[in-house]
Order: sequence, then structure tokens, then C-alpha cells
Amino acid sequence: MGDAHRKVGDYVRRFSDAVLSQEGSSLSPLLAVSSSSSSPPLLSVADALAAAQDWGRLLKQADAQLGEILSHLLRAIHSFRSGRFVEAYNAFERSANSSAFLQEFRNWESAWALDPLYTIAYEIRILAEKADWELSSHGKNPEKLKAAGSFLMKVFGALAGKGPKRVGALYVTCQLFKIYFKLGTVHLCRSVIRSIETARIFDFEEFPLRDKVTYMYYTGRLEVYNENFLAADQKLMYALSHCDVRREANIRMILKYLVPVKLSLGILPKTRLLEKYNLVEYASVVQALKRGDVRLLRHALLDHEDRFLRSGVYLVLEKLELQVYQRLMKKIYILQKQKDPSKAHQVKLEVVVKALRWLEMDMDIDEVECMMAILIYKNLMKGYFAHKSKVVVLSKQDPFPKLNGRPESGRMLSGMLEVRSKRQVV
Amino acid sequence: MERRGGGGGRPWRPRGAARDRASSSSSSHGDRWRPSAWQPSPPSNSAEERKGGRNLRRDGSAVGARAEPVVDVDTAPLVGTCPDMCPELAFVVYLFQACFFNAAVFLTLFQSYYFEENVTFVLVHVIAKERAQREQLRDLAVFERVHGNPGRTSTTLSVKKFCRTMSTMHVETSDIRPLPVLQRTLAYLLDLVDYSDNPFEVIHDFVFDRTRSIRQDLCIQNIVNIEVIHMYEEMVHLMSNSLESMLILINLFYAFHDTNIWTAVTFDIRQKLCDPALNFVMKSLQLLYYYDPVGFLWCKKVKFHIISDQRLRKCCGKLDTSSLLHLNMEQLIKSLMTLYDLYAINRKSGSRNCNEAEFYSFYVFLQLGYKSQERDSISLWFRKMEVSILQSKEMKFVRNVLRCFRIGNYMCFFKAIATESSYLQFCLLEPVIDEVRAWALSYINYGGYKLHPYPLAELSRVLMMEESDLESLCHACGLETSKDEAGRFFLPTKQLGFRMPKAFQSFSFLDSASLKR
Repeated sequence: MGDAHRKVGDYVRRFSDAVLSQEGSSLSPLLAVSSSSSSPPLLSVADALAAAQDWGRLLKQADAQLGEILSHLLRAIHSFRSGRFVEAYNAFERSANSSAFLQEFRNWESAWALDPLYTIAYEIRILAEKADWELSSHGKNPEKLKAAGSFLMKVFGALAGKGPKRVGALYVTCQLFKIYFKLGTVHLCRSVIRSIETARIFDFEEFPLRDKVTYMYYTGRLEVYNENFLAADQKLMYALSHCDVRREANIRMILKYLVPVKLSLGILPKTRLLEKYNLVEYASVVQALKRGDVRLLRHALLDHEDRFLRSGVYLVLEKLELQVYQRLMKKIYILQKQKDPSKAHQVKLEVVVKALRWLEMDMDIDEVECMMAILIYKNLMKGYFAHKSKVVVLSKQDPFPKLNGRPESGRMLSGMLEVRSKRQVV
Repeated sequence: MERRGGGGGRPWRPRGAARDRASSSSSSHGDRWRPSAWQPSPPSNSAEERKGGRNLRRDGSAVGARAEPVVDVDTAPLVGTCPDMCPELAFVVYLFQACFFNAAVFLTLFQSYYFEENVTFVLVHVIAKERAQREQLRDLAVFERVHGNPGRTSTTLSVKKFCRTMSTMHVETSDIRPLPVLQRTLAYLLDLVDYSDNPFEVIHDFVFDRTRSIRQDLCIQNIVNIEVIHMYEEMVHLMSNSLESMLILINLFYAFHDTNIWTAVTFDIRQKLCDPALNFVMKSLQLLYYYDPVGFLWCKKVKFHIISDQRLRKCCGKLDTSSLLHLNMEQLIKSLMTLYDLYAINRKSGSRNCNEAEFYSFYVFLQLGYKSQERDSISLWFRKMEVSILQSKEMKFVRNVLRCFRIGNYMCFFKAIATESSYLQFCLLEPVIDEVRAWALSYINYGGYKLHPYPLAELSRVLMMEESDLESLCHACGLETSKDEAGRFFLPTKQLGFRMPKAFQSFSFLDSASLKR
């Protein structure tokens, strides 16, 4: 009993000392509630709290203001250890939200408390996730993650000032991204992105690199959802090139979204890359693009339908069909060139129908003509189609323009969608 | 006009005059009620003065305080026990009752219902049975009268009226009808619609109000299951027929007032309300905007808005419908979102509505539409959905259409729509269809061989429209057409004048059997 009291007293003292001497690195570990099972000092105090009975007395040792923070914090640690996550979340939020902390934080001029703040931001998200899990499993409405989001917006507000604390804003932003993506309320990212990118107090280059990578990863993903492939490419490439090479899991996450973007821009990844980072779901897609096999593409999409739908790249991959058709036409052209170079540029639609039938795709001649019209319009193929003679005549020079790292150019039906979506702020 | 022998269980006993009826100045339907004499605030004092001080709620709190919402979210759900269609005890919103007999009053309440802050209904606790009171007031609908006597009703005929505000804290379980009774009530009302000789408006009013009361009972008991879904769908089904005819009147109304109808409505319009057409419109608008929050009524509301959208676009030339279109679209999207929330709730308890997939498909088709500036990402939306729904037949169809649209494959697009789309899906796709047709013209114009003008007969077959319509479309897109010696029409290619039309006149849609939709 005395031992338990001593341990709690130790914790309280360490907390107070850290705050008084403004040592962020000492304070942070004391706030990491969710890792209390792995962090020995926290573990010991968590167990001690179960044994100790009257914390209030012990808290009198601490500063009055800190007492408020500490009482909720200790409750959070205790509840978490006992597996009561909703309680843990509530207590932790109260602790962090208390005027003693947030208000004081605003008053502290220097950025000493930034590291503890990062810990708090991280913890509140983790605790909220666990709390929501607990609520769901009891048939109740999971609302804690949403509350954590609101809290973090407040924290963001505290960081959006002129002082040195502002470099912390990107970390908090990334935590918010994670919350919004998890909740599916991705549109809420818009306002915080706008703050980061347009507010004059923020200079993107000042932020820590780790945060910049995470930020670019999430905003890159948003660009993928909105099909702004050039912007997505730029952002995801930034994330990829600045990401620590040892963090293979992170690189895989970035590639998961970058590969469909590159494919849309006409750039195929090497098989080695896909194998190295275990992105096997894209293997058949890449093969279909190389072979000009629409059937293979469709099968590949079906095989991994779940995964692609879940990550939100399904529609992007579906649209690659046009490039697959282009590849098929190119192969037919090459074969014809080998047989009779002078006539190679004239492709009978009937030949295309046959080729497709061989690939187990049943398309009649009118449909084929339709596809030709589309390919020509979208500049994937240069030439014209002659309706009466049922022939497509390819340009003698460069009939299959490379995409050149740009998405299919030309005015197009879906181009309207792209233009429209580019107008979105996200 | 007795119907349906063997109704409810409890024998009906007459009660004395409703002593607790609020006041002498209350308008039984004989009085001429003057809204201007009734000041909304401060409610407690003036109300008590005027109504004679008997206006206490059951728990003793003063009347005239802000009326409570229909459902108290925190209380446990009630299970009704009343075996009759019209329970013995009911809270009556007195003035609302009065309004059935006075359009101007209806108007005031209509207005105040929407802005809850202005709700100043006097909650009257009637101890007497609602039936008895209504008998006293001769407030019995035609259908509830025994042998046409406006002063007499019975358990088999009287149907519980809708009470505007009802707090669950004040409600007895004997006031609320359980699900089987509600089902019976609904069946009775539906029969009435089919077999009654009374004029449509009379039936409509009665049934509308009584079904509303049914919904309220369902809402209070918070029953959400398949049977309730069917009830809701049936309930509004009988409304749907009248909705189409109401649209013209609604257009009239919007032409008559600002779109912000609530503020536009003033007492000066009281005279005009004598106009039965406008009165009818007011009631229709009530249908439009006053759907109860709970229930799968939203299904039918969504359907209504989709059809409205189509009709409104058709009368584009005649009235200024742009604001109405916008409003309607807003309502449509709101209703859809509510419906999706309800589906999600329902799914948690394990049951699934068979119409779900179709309603999910509406969202996707809406995104394809031409009008709106801000389109949401469909990828994001798919991400949130259950894969089983995405793999349903209806959603597969939707995804197929989506794919054709995004790739620009007009042929597949039309084939898919012609074979598989439902009427409502088709309504939503109409603006998209014309856009795709225009793009098809653009492709053909761009890539077609100059010496081979494209025969319109063939193209019209592909684009599923009349040849004459196709010709009009060509011209609307700035493209000229040509004619050969045999009188056949063609589209010469490589023209430079193509432009996307800003608006499309509505063209026909011919499916492969050449049947017009």
C-alpha cells in the first residue's frame, strides 16, 4: 500500500518537475497512456493506481493547476489498464482539455511543450479508436473519434500563431487526417488543408520532414480520389522520395496509391518493384496493359475487387481499359507492319473484332468502331475511321502517341469530370 | 357508413362535455377564429389569461412553454397497448384541431410548425376521450360518422387523429397503438381510398392526417423493421398518385411567391386561400416538406423528388423553374442521405430492405449529372459502402454504366441503360443521356472520314433516339446535316463548329423494341 502510494507520488513529482523545468522530453513519456503496458514507468504507476486508494491526497503535493490535469490523467491511466477504454478516453480528454493545460499551453511562449503535445494528439486518437471499438461492441453509437477530431481542431487553433509553436501544426493536421480518413469524413480535411496551404504564418518548408511526408501522402491520396493525377503524382512522389527507405511498410502504403497514378499516366512499374513491396494485386493489371488484353484487366479487377474498392482505386484502374485497347491496336499495327509495311496503317475493323474474339471479348463491329472513335478523340490513336468501308486508317507518323507522363489529353467526356473535379478545393 | 365489422375491443361509452376543454374562446368549428387577436408571445401569461387558467400539462408545468419535440430521444421506446384505432386518451393540440375548419389558422400553424421557436401551441390535456371531445365539437370526419351523423362515432370508425406535438414523457402506453393495430388501421385506410365514394380531396385530407398519426405512433415506439418499412411504403404509395398532379399547382405557387414560401406567407393571403387550388397546393407543400423524420417514408420522398426533377426539367420553357429545380434537388439529396442513414441503422439489426441497392444507385447517377458544380468523389463513396451492396445486381449495373460513361463508350452506355435501368434510374439519367449523345456526335465528327458522312439512321439507332430528334441535336451542337438523293440524312464529319449545348430539349428515348418511355 505504501509502495503503491510511493509510486504514484513519484509519478506526480516527475510530472510537476517536468512542467516546472519545461522539459518536454521528460513529460512526454508520462502522457503516453496507451503504451502503458509497454512502458515500465507507466506500467508500474498503472498498477499502483489500482492498489492505491486515495490519490487526492497525493495530488496535493502538486501544484493546484497541475492537480486538475493529473487527477484526470491518473484516472485515464487506471481505466486504460483495467480495459475500460471509454472511461480512459473521457478522462484523458478532460485532462488535455482542461483549462490548466490547453490554456497554459497557449501562454507558453517557447515550443518546449510541443513534444508532449504531439504525444497528447497521438494518444487522444488512439484512445478514441479504442473507445469507439468498445462502444460498438456494446451496440452503442461510436462517437469518440469524432470528439477527438473536434479536440484536435482546438489544438490546431492553439498552434496557428506566429510563435515557434506553429511547426507543430502539421503533426496535428496529420492526426486529423488519420481520424477523418478512418471516419470516412474526408471532406473535413478541406478546411485544415486550406489553413496549412494558404495561411501566411505557415511556411511549408519549416515543418519537420516526417510530417511533410505524411502530409503529402494523405493529400496525394485525396488527389487520387478526385482523379487529379498530375497533382497526385507530384505529392505521392514527394512522399516517396523523402520517405525513410528503411520504412518499408510506409513505402508500400505510398506505392499502393502511386502505382495506379503512374499507370494512368502511362508509366508502368517494373515487376521487381511490385514484388519487393508485395503489391501483387497490380501485377495482372500491369500485364494486361503490356499485352493489350482487356479481358485480363477485367479479371484482375474482379480478383481484387474488395481491395481496390476499399482503397478507392478501383475506378482509376477501370479507366485503364482505354490504354489496354490502345496497346491492342498497336500490336495489330506492328503485326501488319511485319506482313506488309505499305498497308499496315489500314486496319480493318473486322480484324480488330477477330483479335478481340481471340481474347474472349465479344464485340460487334459497331462497338469496335465506337472504340476507335474514342481512341482517336482522346489522342491515344492518330488517324480516322471510315464508316462505309469499316476501316480505321492510322496516321503514318507516330500513330500511337505516348502519354508522355500526362493523362490522356484531348477534350473528352471524362475530361469534363476531371476539369470539374480540379475546381474542388481538396 | 359502417364498415369493417368486428373492430376494436373496448366498448365505447359517452362522456360528458369536455370540461377540461381549454376555453370558451376555443374555436369549435362554428366560430370565426381571428389569428391576429392571438399574440404568440409571451405565451404563458396571455394564454393563461385567455384560456381560463386550466392549461396545465399533466405534470403540472405551465402551458405555453416551448412545445417539446415529437420524440424524446432518451426515453425508452414505448410499446403501445391500445387496441382501438382511436385511443381513449390523447393530447390534442387544440389549435391544430381547429385549423381543419379554418384555413387561415392552418396557415399560421403551418408557418409556425416550420420554425419551432414560434410554436406556441397550447397544449391541452384533455381528460375526456378524444373521441368524445371530437363528437362534442362535431369534429368527426365523414368517414368516422355513424350513419352520417356528425355527432356520433364508434370504435370501428374513428381513427386517431394526428397530434402535432407529443412528448413521450406525457404519453400513456394506452394512448399508443401497437404495431398490429397500426397495420390494421392502415389497411382500413387503404381500403377507404379504394372504395369510398367521397370526393378525392376529402378522402385525401382524412387519410393523410390519419396515416400521419400512424407514423407518429410508430415513431414514438421507435419500431424499425421490415413490416414497418412495408407500411411506410404503402402509406405513401397512396399519396404518390396525387403528387404528380400537384406538381403543376406547386409550380403555380412558386411562380406566385418567392421560393422562401414560409416568410412569404402572410395573413393577407388569407383571402386567397379561399381559392381551392391554392389551398390544395398548401396541402401538397405540406406533403413535400413535412415528412416525418423517422421512417422509410424517405424512400417515397426520394422517388417523388426524382420524378419532380424530370417533370420540372420538361416544363423548363414555360415557367422559371430553375430555383424550384435547385430546391427540389437539394431535397432529393437530403432525403437520400437520410435514407442511407436509416438503411445503415436497419442493417445493424440484421435486416435488409430489398430496395436498398436501387436507392444507392441513385447517388451515383446523381453524380453523373451535368448541372452541379461540386461533385463528390464516387471512389470515396464506394470506399464506405459494404462490398455486398456493391456486388448486388443493381449496383453492378450502376458500375457498368459508370464505366461506360467514364470511358466514353456511348454504345455500351445506351445498351446498358436500355436493358436494365428502372424508371427512376432513367429519370435521373436523362440529363446525362443527352450529354453522352452530344459527346458521341463530337467523337464521330472528330474522327470520322471526311468522305464518308455518317448516316443518321444508324446513329439514331445507336443513340436510341428518333432520327428527327437526332437531327435537332446535331443542329443544337452546331453541326450541319446533309441529305442524299434518296432523302436520307447524314452527318458530314470534320466540321469545325461543334459546341456543347447549354441546355437540352428533352428528346425521346427508344429502346431496342422502339417503345417510347
